[in-house]
Amino acid sequence: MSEFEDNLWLKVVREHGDELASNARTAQKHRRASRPQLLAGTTVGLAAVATAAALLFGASTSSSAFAVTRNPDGTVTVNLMRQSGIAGANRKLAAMGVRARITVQAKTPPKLVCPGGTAPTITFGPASIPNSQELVIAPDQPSAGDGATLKAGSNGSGATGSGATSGGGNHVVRTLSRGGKIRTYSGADNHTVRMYCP
Amino acid sequence: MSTATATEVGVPQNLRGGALAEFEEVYRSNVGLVAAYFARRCREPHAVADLTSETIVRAAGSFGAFDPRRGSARAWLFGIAAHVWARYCADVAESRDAIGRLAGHRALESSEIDELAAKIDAQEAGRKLLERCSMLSANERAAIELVDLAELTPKEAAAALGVPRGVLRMRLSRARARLRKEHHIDE
Repeated sequence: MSEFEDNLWLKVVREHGDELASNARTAQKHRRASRPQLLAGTTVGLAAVATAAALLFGASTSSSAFAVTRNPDGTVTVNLMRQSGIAGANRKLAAMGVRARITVQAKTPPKLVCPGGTAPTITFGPASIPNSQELVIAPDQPSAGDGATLKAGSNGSGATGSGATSGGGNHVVRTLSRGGKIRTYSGADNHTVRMYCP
Repeated sequence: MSTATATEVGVPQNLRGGALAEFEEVYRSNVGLVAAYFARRCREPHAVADLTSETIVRAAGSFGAFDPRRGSARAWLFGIAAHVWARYCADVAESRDAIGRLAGHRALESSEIDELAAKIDAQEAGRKLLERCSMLSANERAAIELVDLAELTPKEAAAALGVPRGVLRMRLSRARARLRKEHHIDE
């Protein structure tokens, strides 16, 4: 850069460096304006969840409303302690270039409390999210157990996976076992991964 | 333009990361174009420097609200530049201290003044084109400048001006036709 541009950059860093360094922007840089909210073939890698959760919350020293962590195996773990953390978690996901976002789908605010005071969590493989799609994560009513659930906008006739829990309205709620894969539902238009209690 | 990095210009280690790295990319890709935008309008290096600084400082302060789904960073930056220029013109028209009111104001080194003076000279052709565009409406002039001089795509220019792409294309087409016609008359 030229001297003028270098000096101006230093002024920007001096005046806004802290603010910029600590914030992620609200939206991903190259995200398309109207990405279908459809999940297909996302690998749910649950093995790292317990470790990540223990590291993040075991000492109970964090006052953050959320935590988004990239695990060594490339999966991403999202923990949500309070509803106020949703926006921050979405910003962090966007800053990490992960095509996933947390969306409250229920009419009433989610109760983000799990037995034992743990936070609802989800781990998934971003690389498995197709380019033209976006993973929707629902924090509403996190389910108990060690499996992630998939709410599929199907007609309710789909086969159940291991540990299937319940159906709701015309949706099928699926529970996947550790390391299981979320299957593609052809014709479905609103696939959502639900957070669960570790 | 050389390619100095944040490290080379002395950004502290603890500030590297977050949105700062992303904003630096936006800055490095566009600061020259923003300075040229003002260099086509002012012949005074201090004014060009202050208007450019004001635009960049404002952009840094509001980068958290920038949503790329609504347009490119370049379009967003030129939208800010247009506001900065409009306010500057209003201040000048009302005999207010236009430069003093710019938050981006800072003293320049003599080498920076020389550098900006060279940039102003380099924009002579662009300035002449803008002068030729005086017969166009303000909207048509803005469309011509952003696409033909500032190197924005029609889509980016539409976002910067806050108009639908179809409207921008219409203004551009009409402006170019009028300029061509004027050129033939001159010959």
